[in-house]
Amino acid sequence: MTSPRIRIFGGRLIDPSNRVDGPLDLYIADGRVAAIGEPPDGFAADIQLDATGMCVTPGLVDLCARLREPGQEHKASIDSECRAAAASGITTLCCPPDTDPVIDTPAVVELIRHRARQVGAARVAVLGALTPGLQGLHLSEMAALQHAGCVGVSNAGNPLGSTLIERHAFEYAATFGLTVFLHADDAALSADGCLHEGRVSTRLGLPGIPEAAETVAVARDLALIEQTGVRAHFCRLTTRRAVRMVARAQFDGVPVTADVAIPYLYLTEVDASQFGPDYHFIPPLRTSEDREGLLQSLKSGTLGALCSDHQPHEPDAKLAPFPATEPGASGLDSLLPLTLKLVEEGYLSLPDAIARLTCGPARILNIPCGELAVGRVADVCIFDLHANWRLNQQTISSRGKNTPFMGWEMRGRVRYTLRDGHIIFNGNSA
Amino acid sequence: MLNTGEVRVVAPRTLLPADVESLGVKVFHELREGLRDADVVMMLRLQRERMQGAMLPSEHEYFRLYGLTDEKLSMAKTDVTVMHPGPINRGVEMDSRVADGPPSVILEQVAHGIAARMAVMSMAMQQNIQQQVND
Repeated sequence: MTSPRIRIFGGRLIDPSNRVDGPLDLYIADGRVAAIGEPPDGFAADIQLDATGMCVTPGLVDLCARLREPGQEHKASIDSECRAAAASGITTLCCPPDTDPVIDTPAVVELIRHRARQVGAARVAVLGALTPGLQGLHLSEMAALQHAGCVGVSNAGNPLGSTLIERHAFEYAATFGLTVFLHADDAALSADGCLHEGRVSTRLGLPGIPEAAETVAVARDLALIEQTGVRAHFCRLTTRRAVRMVARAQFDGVPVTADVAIPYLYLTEVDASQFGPDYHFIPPLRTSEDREGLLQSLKSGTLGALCSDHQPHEPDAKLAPFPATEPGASGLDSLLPLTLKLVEEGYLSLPDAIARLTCGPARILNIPCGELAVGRVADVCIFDLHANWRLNQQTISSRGKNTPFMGWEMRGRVRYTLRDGHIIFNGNSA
Repeated sequence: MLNTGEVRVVAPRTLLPADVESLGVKVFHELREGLRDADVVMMLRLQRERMQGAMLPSEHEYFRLYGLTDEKLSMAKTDVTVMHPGPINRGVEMDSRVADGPPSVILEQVAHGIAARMAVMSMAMQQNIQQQVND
C-alpha cells in the first residue's frame, strides 16, 4: 500500500521537540514529514485535511497500555484497543510483559507485533520480561527479546526474588543497552494492601499500602542503577517523596527517568472512601500532597511522560467488594482530554503538555517518533482544543468501560489520527 | 600487560569482575568487536553455576552471543591462534568446528598444562625439602 501525499492546512502546529508552535501547514509523503510551512517542489496533495481552528501535534505515545492479548481476550484485544488508541490520537502504545503467556520469548513478541500490524491502527511497542514468567528468579533471554523487537525489559508489577537478581538483571540489560522499566514496589511492605495506608484505610478498615512501599523500592533501585549504569525508567510513581528522590538522582547524572499516570493527577485516597471499585488502583491513589507534588514534578520535567496506564476490564472484574476487585482503569479515551484539562487549570503550558505525551515518552522508549521534523515518520494527531464532550458508555471507544472518569466532561476532541502517513482515524466519519 | 600490545576481555557485564579495566585490559560486550584483528583468542569454560546464580539466562543465549564460531572467528587475523584451558563445553563457549579446526592449539595447550602443573608441584616440593634440610 503506497502512502498518500497529504497536506494538513490551517492548523496550529505544535511540535515541542523542535520548539515549533505556530500556524504552519504540514506536508506528508511516503509516510514521512516532507515539509513544514511551505510545500516541497512539485508537491501535489492526494488528500487535503482542513485543520482550521485545530491543533496539529505529533501522534501521542502512551507508555503503558494493557491490551489483554494474548490471554485475557474477555477483557479486550489488540484489535479493540489499538483502534481505541487511534480514536484517542495515540499512534504508539507500549505494552508491558504481563500477558498470558508472559512476553518472555521472541515468539510472543512476534505474535503481538504481527497482530498489531494486521489491525493497522496504533503501533505497539513491546516490553519484554526481565525474568522468565515474571517470577523474578532467573534472567530472561534479553538479547533474543531485543532482537525480536522489544524496546525495553520489565518485570511489570511482579517482585524480583532478591537484590542480587536485580543487580544481575540490571548488569545484563546494560550489556545490550536495554532500558529497564521498573515498578517501584517493595512487595513485603505493600503485601495485601488495596489502598493508600492513611486515614482513609484506617477509617474503612482495609489493609493499606504505605508510602514506604514505593520510596524503599526507589532507594534500592537507584543504588543499583547507579552501580550498574543501566538506563532505567520508573513507571507510574505515585508519591511526592519518591519523585523527589528521582529528581535528585537526575541532578546527579544518574540515567533515570520517570512517568506518572493520569488518575494520580486527579484523584486521591479520599476518592476511594466510598468503596467505589473504579477507584481501586495498584499502586494506590495517594494523598492530596502527593498529587500536588506529582503535578509540580510533571511541570518541572522530572516526570518526563504522562501515560494512561490503561487497564481495561470486563464488568464482572469490578463487581465485588473493594479489595476483591481487579485494580486499574480504562484510560486511553481520557489521556488527551484530561491532559488538556491540566492546561486549562494552569498546571502546564500547552506545548509542555504535548511534550509529556509525545517526545517525552518517545525518548524514554528510545524510539524515533514523537516529533514532526522533516524526514520523521508522519505520526500526527489533529484535535479541536475547544470541543468539549462527555465520557460515557456511548462515547468511550475502549472495550474496557471501567473508569472513574465516566460522566466527566472531556476537553478536546480528536478529529484525525495519522500513523506512518496513513489516516488511521477520521472523527468526521466515525 | 603480559608483554602484549593489548589484552581484551569480552563478556556480558554479569561475568566481568568489578573495575576490570584497572588491570590494563580493554572491555568489550560484543564478541565480534572484541575479536577484530586479534592474534590470539583464549576462550574460558563457562561454569554451570553461573546459570543457577542468575548471571546468564541460558546456555543457548550465551552461545548465540558469546560462543566462538567460524563466522565470528573470521573477524580475527587470518593466522589467529585459538586457545582454551579445557575442558571445553562444546556448543556453549565454543563450536566444535572451531575447537577441532586448524587455528586451534587446545590439545597442545592441555598437554603443556600437565607439564606446567608438574613443574609447579616439583618446585613447591623442593622448597619444602630444602626447608626441612635447613631445619
